[in-house]
Amino acid sequence: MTIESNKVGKAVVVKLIGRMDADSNKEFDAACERLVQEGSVFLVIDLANLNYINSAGLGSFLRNAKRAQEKGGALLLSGLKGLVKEVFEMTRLITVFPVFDSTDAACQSIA
Amino acid sequence: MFNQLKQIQLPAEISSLRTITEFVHSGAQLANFPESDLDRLDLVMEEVVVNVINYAYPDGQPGNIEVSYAIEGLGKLFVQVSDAGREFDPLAKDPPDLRLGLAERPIGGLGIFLVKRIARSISYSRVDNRNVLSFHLEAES
Repeated sequence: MTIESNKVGKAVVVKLIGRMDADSNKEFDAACERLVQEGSVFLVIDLANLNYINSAGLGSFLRNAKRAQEKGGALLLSGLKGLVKEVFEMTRLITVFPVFDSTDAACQSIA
Repeated sequence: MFNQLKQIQLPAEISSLRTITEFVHSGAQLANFPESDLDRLDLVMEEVVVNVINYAYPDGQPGNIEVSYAIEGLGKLFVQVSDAGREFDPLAKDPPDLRLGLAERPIGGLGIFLVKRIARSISYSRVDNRNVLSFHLEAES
């Protein structure tokens, strides 16, 4: 999995590309932890190019969202599709995170 | 009737996961599963196999995992995963409470829940001191 991050206003857009498996969820954890420590507490996770996620990956989303919330921020999702969307729906995590169709819409919601 | 079972046995280690998913892919291809379904199969196999790796054998004690499949028809696979570790029924766990909000949601506990949602007719048995998890995988499209 490749992780790209870009600051957009108050938010940082974290783009995930590829597959989030047992190893790559740790990279995602580390990237989000670093961003929150640096003061970027509004994380918009762009999932439009993520093709696969396992339960450990879902745990990472929860862990990072709790961490951001504790610092007064939030973790927002955009671009859910395919298996990743299906998994967020099955676990009803889609109701736990704010979900947007695009990163623009997500960023605007916290502007 | 099932076709003949095909079987592999590997160390119960994370490094075996790729070989196991490729093994099940070969069965899925023979059963004409569409390419778009393979990620769902990977998810089921990853969760089941990681569960065995994490819980079957005490830390530091090596053990094996055995995976078998049989083609039941077009877009239909029967899969069995077994280990010789301590008795452990992954299906006995209480289901996660999906109504909880972010603050209350525990991290973890969703793997077997996902397996139960995607696989069909999943069952556990203890046979000859082995944990045996059996299930069916069906093509979606």
